[in-house]
Amino acid sequence: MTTPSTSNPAQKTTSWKSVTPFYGYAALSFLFLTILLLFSTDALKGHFFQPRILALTHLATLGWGTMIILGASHQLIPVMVDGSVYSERLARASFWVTGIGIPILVCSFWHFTTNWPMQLGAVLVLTGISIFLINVLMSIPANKPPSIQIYFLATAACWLFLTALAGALLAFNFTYPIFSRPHLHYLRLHAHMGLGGWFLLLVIGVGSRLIPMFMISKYTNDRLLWWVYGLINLSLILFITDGFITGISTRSFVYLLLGFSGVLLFANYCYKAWRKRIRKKLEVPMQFAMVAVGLLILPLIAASMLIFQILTENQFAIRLTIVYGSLFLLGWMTALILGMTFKTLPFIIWNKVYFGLTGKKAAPSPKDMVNARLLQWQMAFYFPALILFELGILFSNGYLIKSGASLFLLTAIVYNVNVGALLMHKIKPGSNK
Amino acid sequence: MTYISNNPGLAARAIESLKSVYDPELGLNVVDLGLIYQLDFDESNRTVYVQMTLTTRFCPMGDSITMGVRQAMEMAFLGYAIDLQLSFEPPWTSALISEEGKKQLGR
Repeated sequence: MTTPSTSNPAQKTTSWKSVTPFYGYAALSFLFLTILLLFSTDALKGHFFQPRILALTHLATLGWGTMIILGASHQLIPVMVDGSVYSERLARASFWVTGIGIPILVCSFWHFTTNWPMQLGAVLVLTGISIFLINVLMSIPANKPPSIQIYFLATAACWLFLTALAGALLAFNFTYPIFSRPHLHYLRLHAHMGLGGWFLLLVIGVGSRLIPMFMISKYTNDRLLWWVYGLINLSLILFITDGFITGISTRSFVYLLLGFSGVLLFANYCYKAWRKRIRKKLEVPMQFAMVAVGLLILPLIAASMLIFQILTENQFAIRLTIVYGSLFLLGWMTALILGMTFKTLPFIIWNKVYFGLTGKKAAPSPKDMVNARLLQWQMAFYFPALILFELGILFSNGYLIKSGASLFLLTAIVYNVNVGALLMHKIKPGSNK
Repeated sequence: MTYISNNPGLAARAIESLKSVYDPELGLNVVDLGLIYQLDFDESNRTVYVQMTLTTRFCPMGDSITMGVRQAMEMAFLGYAIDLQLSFEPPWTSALISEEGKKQLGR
């Protein structure tokens, strides 16, 4: 008898040990975020440049959004680049360094201690993100031409680094004046590097690969994706350069229009992928993802109104800024994460728990590991939460804000229970038949 | 079916067994998904050669699926060595899914 063999040109996926801590951290951050929202009604009715709003924003963008996207990125890099992650040790280092930096930074904003705690938090976050950037760039295979998805991934990681660098400089600027103009002038540039450059580019890059893959769609269109990539980057570069030199002007509408066009083209890409799908029934996580694509239109509409209000020096611009930011973070980004968590995490856990049992033991499918009833509750709490919360801020109504925040808290509790159950998933006794 | 074989009789037995191996994400067996490219048998050396693919080279479930295929073949052909080769030429496309598979995914 000859020796059995397996010729395997595919390579190992990223270990669950390097990925799941990011998911757990993000889930807890979301829970803390919703608790803090509940106690920040007055702050949410006021100006956006105040300690509590800065703390909430950084908890949402870093603790919730960035940490889960960093985790998912480490898992998805192999799918995106057709190669393994360069270093799992670096992946774990980026978790620990960023993960320690975030609470220090958020607490320093909340209590507005602008000296060493804020600087330490900012430097730790910048270091953790630099480690991630190095890991991404080193994971790109040098021996083949990069795909459009690799361009999205690498560019998004570069924008994240620039966001963190600008943030660190702004943190030091409180104590050691670095910039000549007021803080607010640079804050919007820092924010848009993160929102547009990091979140938007990364999600579009990953989505352009995963959405057709999950739906088994025959549709691909790299040319269209190149247009999306070009329009969004051009929009950001022009906005940031012009914003650095002058500020918001009528030209800002043109930059917004460029970015908006890119988003609409991507929405068209998703629609065509959906039309040509073989897998007809969309599961709840994918429904969340598709709704999130549509939700992205709302902050962009808010942005166009915001530019107009700023140019006409209307006080409403202050309130609209919070609406714009929260629609982006609690609307588009959160809807996407609430869905895609349960499309990515079950696979990681499945590989951890059931790997090697295929064909020998009865293993559930990854989607059956998610509590479907909790997922329905999550959906039932989340959408009314978003509507009430945004209306509350728009009309400066404390009751609506509190009602929305309470429903966000329920969403976060349900989400955490579902994520916690997945992270602790074990083989059921008696299933080894 | 898109696979080729030097022994259709034994291949039919292998296919029956491989239909118990599912892609956990899609809930579709590896045969109807079109992952099996070739099944050859060398009875003098008691070896089964399996050439198969994955839906993507870095499929997160790839190792688990290939292990499932190996185990299914070991059970179907006791005492045979299993020589399993992954191939990405041609790469998998949705056109390889069988009509039965498309029907299942369309529900």
